[in-house]
This record gives sequence, structure tokens and C-alpha cells, in this order.
Amino acid sequence: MEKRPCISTGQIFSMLFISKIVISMTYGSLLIGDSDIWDHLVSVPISFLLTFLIVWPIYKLFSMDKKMNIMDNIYNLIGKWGMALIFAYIIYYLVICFHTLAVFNNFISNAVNPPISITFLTFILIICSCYGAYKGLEALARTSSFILISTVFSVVFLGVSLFSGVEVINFTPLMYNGSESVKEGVIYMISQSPCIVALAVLLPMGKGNKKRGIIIWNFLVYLLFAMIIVLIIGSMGDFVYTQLFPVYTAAGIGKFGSFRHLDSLYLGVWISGIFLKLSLFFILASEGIKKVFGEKVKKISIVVFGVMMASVSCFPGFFGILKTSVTTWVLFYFLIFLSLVVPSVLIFIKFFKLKRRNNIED
Amino acid sequence: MQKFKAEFDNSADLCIKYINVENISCAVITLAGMVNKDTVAISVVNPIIDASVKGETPLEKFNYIKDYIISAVDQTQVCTYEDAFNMIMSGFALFAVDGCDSMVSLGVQGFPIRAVSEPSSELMQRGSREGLVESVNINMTLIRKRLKSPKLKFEVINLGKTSQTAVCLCYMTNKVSKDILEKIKENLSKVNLDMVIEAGYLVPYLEDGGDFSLFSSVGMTERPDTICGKISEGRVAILIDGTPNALIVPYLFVEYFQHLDDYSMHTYFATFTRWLKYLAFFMSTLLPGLYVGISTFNPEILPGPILNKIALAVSTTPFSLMTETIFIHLIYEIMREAGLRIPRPLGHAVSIVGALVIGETAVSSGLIGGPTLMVVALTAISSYVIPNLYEPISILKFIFIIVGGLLGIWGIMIIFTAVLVNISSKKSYGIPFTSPIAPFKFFAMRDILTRCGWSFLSKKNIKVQDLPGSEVK
Repeated sequence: MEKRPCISTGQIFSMLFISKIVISMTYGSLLIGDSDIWDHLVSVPISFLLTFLIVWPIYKLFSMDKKMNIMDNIYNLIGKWGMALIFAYIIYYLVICFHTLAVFNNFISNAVNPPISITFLTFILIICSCYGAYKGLEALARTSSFILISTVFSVVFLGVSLFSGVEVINFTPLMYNGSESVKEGVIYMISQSPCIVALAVLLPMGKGNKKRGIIIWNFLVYLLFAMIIVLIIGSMGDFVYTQLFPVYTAAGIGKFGSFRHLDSLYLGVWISGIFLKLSLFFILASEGIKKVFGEKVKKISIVVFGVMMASVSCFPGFFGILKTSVTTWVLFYFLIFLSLVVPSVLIFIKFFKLKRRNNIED
Repeated sequence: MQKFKAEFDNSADLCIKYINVENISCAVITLAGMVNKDTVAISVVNPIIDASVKGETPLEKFNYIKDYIISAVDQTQVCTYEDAFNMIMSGFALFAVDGCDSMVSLGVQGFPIRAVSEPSSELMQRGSREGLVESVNINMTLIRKRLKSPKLKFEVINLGKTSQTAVCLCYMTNKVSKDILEKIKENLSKVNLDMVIEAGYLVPYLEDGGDFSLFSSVGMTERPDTICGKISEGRVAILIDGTPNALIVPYLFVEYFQHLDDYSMHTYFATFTRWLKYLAFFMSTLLPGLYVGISTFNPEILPGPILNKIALAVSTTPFSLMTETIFIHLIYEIMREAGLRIPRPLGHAVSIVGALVIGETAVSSGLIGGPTLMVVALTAISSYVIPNLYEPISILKFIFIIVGGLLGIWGIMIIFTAVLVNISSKKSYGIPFTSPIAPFKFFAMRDILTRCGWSFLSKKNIKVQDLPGSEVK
């Protein structure tokens, strides 16, 4: 019997919450095809409900056999032909790592523009993330508790600092220019939720009430999104639409007593989150490799993933990946396929097999 | 006797006193300096010489002398040469009768020992002034007199092929986890050292897992009262003969910030000092790195007046901020090492040279900037607040200075998270090193985030194996 890491449900969702925050903090109008951010406030409750709908098949599949993750289910129900689907999950997790690195590069080079080699910084990030993944899920889950504490404090601090600058005049009527932005917002918010697919692997590893965990996590994620929208629009007004990373800009102009330039606080939390997210998705991809090639290859695969990421990030064109809105749609369809279609098919097969077995027994 | 003489190769300290008791040859074997000569004379040699011994065979005479004539209380029958050598080298006297295949060891130790005194590395404002000494027997007494419970158990084993050092496991039978105890014994059985001279020799063998980490999961203390506190929570203390330090396992990260003094102070002040320690840890580790990183890459974060001072200092010094900070830290570490090793009377000279050379001349000559010196001083003082963490802190601060100088606060945050992963991945005998913070246990926060009053602390004794994430029962 293989030994699986066992972490608490709280730790699972703290990892996923941090992974989501990382993307929320780079949220901006220019990255979503000049969409009206203020209308995204309507997208928040819609995405919140849609997330439950998308998570349901994964949760249902998990609740049918609480010891098996999606890859075990694929292998057991479809057999060797299911390997292609396992590879689809591995590719998705790696795509998320590439996407996260692209966000990182894009953000550092465009918003911060430090006088250091960004490639070198990316390499260090990849090496450290591989180390985090190598240390395993339990280590990462415990680390996430520390990062979550600092993240919550920083977010509250940033929120309070921006709150004093909120002006009601900046809030225009919702959907003034139609509902197109709402749709774009929903697609963006859902596509940037790889955590849903991560749950397919993570749920059997957690101890505790998962249903409650999913509800609280989803609620907090979208509460944070709503807060970010209200605060950046309220404090920056139309200036938001000229900024590539408005949350970062807002953090830079926010002040709390004698504390100024809170963007450094933002950077600290954000980079820790990026580290954690990369490590987590390396682990998830390596779980797939383990299922296909065996336990021995698992740790080596993390190094291979690291080398892949480092090689790709050397290409200058890689950083432009975010500038196309295609990415959002690709991620969206990929997510829907892996979190809605595949688990639903597996549930159907499982149900069918169970029924046939019962008939034979009768 | 020939065997003893041959093994010891007629060593100068081997003393064999031959006594003829009613035509049977007897001998008392001791090592000079290891036994109390008066005790040997009064309770062993004189009674044998003066007595009339009953019995026909050598064995009967041996038993008679052992049971009725020798007045030494501590007597153990010894049947092998190996045990005999162990006993004699531990300060026992051996009594042998010609024709008998066993001997009796007599507890007449009298080697010089240091008196119980205040531990130099763990001073307390209030509380006991007694610290451990080099003799394991005295250390056992110091613990026993504080914990008057039959559940307190000492288990002695000998480690070191040549040194045969007595190592004593000390635990409470009703508190300790059997799994942890077994694992500790298993780890100690793997010690293949020739010599075990000091407690530090055993630390690598007691570290659980074997993964590289800057932080140790084996605690060290010089205080018997600290040992009592730890073993009452299910931990195991390991006393090593010849060293005034005891090792404590399992040992968790939060314990580095707990001190016995915390429990004798007012709760509000103890909580305050605990938070000071957390702050001091972060300052001593991150401050120089952040100083270099922020000043070099993110000066906008600093308030104008401070930034002006730093800019002025940097413009008048020949080195970059990173080089300067590394340089002063290195000089400081050299001075600290020198202060530790040189004879005490010369210590003042080092202080004067350090204060004059670094504090005065280096700044006034424009080699080093004033703000940098200030940062180094703050870092040094902060690191003394948690002396047990000095080793990892001193290495980490150099790493963060270099990373800060090359990659700014972004690099610092990445490496800091990696260090966090390293700490979080560590386990101490199946218990996560970061427990009870991660995994979290709210009840345990009574002695971590705060130091609650005794009425609350005494409500429930949390054993170390009951902490969240523990794999042991």
C-alpha cells in the first residue's frame, strides 16, 4: 500500500486560496481585452455559483470512493486507454505552471522593472519551487499556513489603507455599456481557477470536512475578488483602465498612518504565493507521472519540469503569452473539460459498472 | 591479574593491592585518581585484612567477604572482563579472589568533579541557579530531586567503542511515547563512533530523517529544571557523561523561543518577551539582507530622511553596500570567535580593538558607512536574544545579504519561502517540526502566541506526541 501524504482540509484550501490570490493580485482590465472591471462585480456572484457547479462532478466522484483521486479513477475505470487522460491532467498542471511563470515575468518586467536580470530571478524561482515540490505536499501545506497568515494580514492592511481613499463618485452604474464585460469577467474568473482541477487530486489527501472547505474557500475567493474590484475602482476611478496591474498600483498609492509604499508588502506576499503555486502544480503533475511511470520517476519528474520551465522562460516570446486573450479561452475550455466533462464521464462509467455488478449479484 | 596488567600495559594509574586471606590470594584493583582512597581503605581493604573469613573453597570465601565483610553499599557481581574493564574505568574498585570466576565491583568513586554551579549559557533572572555538571550521576540526582516520582526512569547505555561513555536516557514512563523511545534507542544503537566526548557528537544520530536542514530538531540545555519541564511533556532527555549539556528530543521550532524565565514572570511581560524573541529572530535573519536589498533596488520604500543618510554614507564609502555589509559581518564574526577562544583576561583587549577599529576608525576613515554599522549592531544584538538559534541565523543572514544584493527583496522573499519549506518539511520523531503552528492547534497557542497564566496552562498537559500532525502515539 503506497503511503499518501495526509494533510488537513484547512491546509488544502489555504494552498488553493493562496494560489488564487496570486492571480487575483495581477487582475487588470488590459489583460482581459479592455473589459470594464466595474461590471465584473456582477461576474463575481455568477462565477461563485458556477464554481460550485464545476466542482460538483469532482466532489461527487471523490465521495463515491474517498481514497481515490481522479487519476486512480481513470486508471481503474478506463484502464490503459485512460493514460491519455492522465497525460491531459499532467499537461494542464504544467500549462498552469507556464502561465504562472508568464504572469510573473510579465508583472516583474512591466510593473516593477527592477535593475536585475529577470531571467536569473526566474531561474531562482524555478529552482526554489522545484525544491518546494521535492520536499512534498505536507511540507508545502505547512508552509502555506505561514504564508496564509502573512497574506491575510497584508490583504487586510492593504484593504484598510485603500479604504480611506475610496470615493463614491467613482462607482458608475453597473452594466452601463451592456453585459459583454460581465461575460468576459466570468470567463476570466473561471479560467483562472485551476484550483478546481487541483481538487481532483488533492481531495483524497485531506482529512476533515471537504464540503464545508469548498464552500468557505469559494466564498472567500470571490469575496476577495469583489473587495479588490470595489477598492481599486473606488480609490482609482478611471485611472484603473490605464494600468496593466491596477492592484499593484493601488498598493503603491495606499497609505496607512506613516506607512507608505505598501507595494513592497504586496510584492512579498505575491512572490511567496507564486512560489507556492508553482510548487503545488509541480507536485500535482508529478502525481500523474507517478501513476503512469511509477513512484521512482516521481521525484525525477520534478527536476525535469523545472528544466522545462527554465528552458521555455529563456525564449523572449514566452513573456508575450498573456497579451493574447486566447489564453483565457484555452484555459477555460481546458478547465471545463478536466473538471466537468472527465469527472462526469467517470461518474457515469462508475455508476454503470456498479449497476451491472449489482444485477449480476442479484 | 595478568590479563589486567596486559590490557592496561602496566599503565601508571593501575593499582592492584594484593591481600592474603587465610592462604588464599585476593586483590583489590583500582585506577588511581578514580577512587576515593579513604573509602577504599575503610570500607574494603581494612575490613578484609582484619576479618576472619569463614568458608572452605575460594568461592565460599569470596561470597563471605562480599556479603559480610566489605561495607561498601554499591556492589555488583562482575562475570566478564568487558564488564570489569567498564567498571574499573568508571571509578569502581574490583575485588577478586584467586580461584573464583567472578569479581565484585564496589562503588567507591572519588574522581574530582566540578561543583554544581550556575549554567553559563542559560542564565535565569529568577529561579534555580543550579546547572548540570560533567558527572552523569550528579546530573541524575539533580533531576531526581526535582521530580520526585517513581515514574521518572533513567536508563544507562555505553556508547563509543573506545571511550565507552555512559549515556543516560531520562524520561517519564507514564508520559513518554513508546514509539519515540524505541526510535531514539534505535538511533543511538547506530552510533559507530570511536569516541563520544561531547553531547554534540550524538546530535547527528538523533536528528530524525537525515534531510539537510539548518535548524536542529535536537534541543540542548544545561538546566536540570528545563529537563524536568521537557520530560513532563513526554520528551526524552539524554545525559552524556563528561559534558554538562543534555540533549532533548523531540524538539520543535517553537521551543527555541521558550525559556524557563517566561514561566516565572508575569504573563503580560512573558508574552511581551516572547514576541520580542520572534521579532529578534526575524531581525537577526532578515534585517541586513533587507537593508542591502531595499537600499540597492527599492530605495523608494524608505522614508526620505533615512534614504538621504544611507545615500550619503554609500557615496562616501569605496565599497558597494553588499560588500560593505558582508565585510563588517565577517569582521564581527571573527571578533566573536576570537572573544570565545582567547584567554579571558585578553577578552577586554578584543572588545577595545573591535570598538575602536570598527566602531570608530572604520567609519571616520570613510571605509564603512554609519548606517551599515548600525544595522550590523542591531543584527548582532538581536541574535543574542535567541542564543540557541545563533548557528542558523549567522549563516542565513549571509545568504540573505548576498541574495538581497543580487536580486533585491524579490530574491529575499523567494529564498525566505524556501527556508520556510525547509523548516516545514522537517519532522522530529514523527512530529512536524513546525507543530503546533502548522499543523495548527488553537489550544497550544496558550504557550506560543501568548504565555497564559498558570491557571490556564495547568488545565491540560499537552504531551508532545499529542500535537497535531503527530505520527506517533
